[in-house]
Amino acid sequence: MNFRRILALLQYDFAILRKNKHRLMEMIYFPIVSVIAWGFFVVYAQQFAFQAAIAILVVQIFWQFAYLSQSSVSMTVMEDIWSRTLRELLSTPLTTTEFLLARIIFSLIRSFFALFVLFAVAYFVFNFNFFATLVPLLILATLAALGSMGIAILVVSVILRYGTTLSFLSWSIVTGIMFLAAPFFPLSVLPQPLLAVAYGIPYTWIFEPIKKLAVTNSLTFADYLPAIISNLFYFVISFPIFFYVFEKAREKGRLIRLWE
Amino acid sequence: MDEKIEERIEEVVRIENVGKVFKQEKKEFYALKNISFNIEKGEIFGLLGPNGAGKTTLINILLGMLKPNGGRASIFGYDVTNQREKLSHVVNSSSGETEFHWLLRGREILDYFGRFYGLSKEQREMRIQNLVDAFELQNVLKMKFGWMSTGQKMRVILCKALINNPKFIMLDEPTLGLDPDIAKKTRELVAEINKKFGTTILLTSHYMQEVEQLCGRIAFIDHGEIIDIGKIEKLKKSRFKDFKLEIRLKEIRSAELLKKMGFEISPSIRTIEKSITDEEQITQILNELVKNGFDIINVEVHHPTLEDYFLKMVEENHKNNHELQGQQGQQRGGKK
Repeated sequence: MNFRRILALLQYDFAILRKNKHRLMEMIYFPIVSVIAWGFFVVYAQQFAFQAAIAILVVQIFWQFAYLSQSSVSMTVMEDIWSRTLRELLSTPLTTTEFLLARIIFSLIRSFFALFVLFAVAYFVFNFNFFATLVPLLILATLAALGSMGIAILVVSVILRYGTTLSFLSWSIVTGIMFLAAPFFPLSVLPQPLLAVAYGIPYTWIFEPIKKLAVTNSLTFADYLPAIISNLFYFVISFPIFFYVFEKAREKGRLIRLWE
Repeated sequence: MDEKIEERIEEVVRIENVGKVFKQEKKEFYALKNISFNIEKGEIFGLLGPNGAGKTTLINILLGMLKPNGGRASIFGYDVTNQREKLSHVVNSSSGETEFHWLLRGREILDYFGRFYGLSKEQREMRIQNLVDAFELQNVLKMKFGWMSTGQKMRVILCKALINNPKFIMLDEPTLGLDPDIAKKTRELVAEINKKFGTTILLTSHYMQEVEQLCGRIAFIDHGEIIDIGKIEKLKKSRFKDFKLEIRLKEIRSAELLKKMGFEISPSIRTIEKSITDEEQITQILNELVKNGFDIINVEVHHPTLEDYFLKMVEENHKNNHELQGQQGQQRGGKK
């Protein structure tokens, strides 16, 4: 592992990000617009259900955060594929691990930056003060980031295996599964078959403690445990699956024909 | 990479029985069929063949981007599949398929790739400056890759391929899309790099003159098989026993006599042609013409070019493949 190469790829990704208006909008503008829109609703809803309204706003912030954590990894790899740079990058001394690690660091910087901006918007625009629950929120955000990056690496693996016709997954998977993770309602509302699906989604175990946090202002280790297990599970299993699929892609020639 | 190994090894590339099979719609397609050859240190080796012959597949295997199904390919003694990390510092490539991110500027591309190859800031700056001068890239460095013309892109791609001062470089169609003057400079630069630094080069090109000008040895590959390999002159001689003598006369006076002497006549351009096998025959033929009163204006000797060789090889190979397919069809028919 060479950290200078990882840093080089990280700066390469930021150089592209700086020039890519769409990805800058995706990182700053859309999350802020979304939080502002929901913020007004929450200000109104607070009169009737204070804690539920706060939970909605935090969930909305985490939704944006999870989307960014996931898309920052998979969209960066997709841009390597679309720009036909993947072969060039991987034929340099960059190893597959360094390649992936740089994208993980890129995702963490990008999504945590957006998270702090969103917290600041909620604080300055709507006077929502998250400082009392900042530590549990940051723990949950770290877990959500790990789960999201795990999902992103799995999405990249699926694209390496089945081709770029599935590239839509890189920007739509989080939105596609999020409503099943019981973001704005209790898990118990879901019917039995959907409940089984919800249990398998890492975000379910992030939103459950968030909803509780809005009521109790504190969490126990037991509240974190399902989130730790679920999100770490996705993060940890994504690596061997990626490396296996990558090697298979190298064997079958998919690595060099991805854009065809 | 162990510098001593690199210095010691005379065979930079060793390919032994390398095969590659792709599956397309449940059918197996043999992209490479047990090919073997070596490239020696300091050599510019040409890989020729029609489209789809297997040239790019082989380059992708050597780059470690594709795993062969069988056999072994090594560069500087290191297996390209399993020991890529020991090689990638001293190997580089360029290809017509290469692209970079459309938003990155020429300088950024070269600088980031320099960093991936582990060059320090000073090394990168010096290297980029040298390459910019050599490829006349001053105006292109500030342009975004997506806005560059084909020729400008190709020059940036070539610079990337040279950024780490590679000991072995694979150039897949390096002058494709370049203006004649830049193409000429590129060829000169390739020759200079090879001569000055002893860089071993694997070159593929559809421009036969380019291959003839640069390469010492070539391999002709078709349908995933090496059909012919060796020094260009030797290969041409093996396929063409004779060459053409073309003589322009002041006037074609006695066509009968010329035909009797074995010439083909093109009266409109007052030219006569004859195939000969030995250069010593030329004086004899010219003497005979003068003796018979013909006024000679111009004499040209046409040796077979690499293009003639290429076309002949493609034609022969297609013919053989058709015959083989016909025989296989008959055998299958017989079995029924």
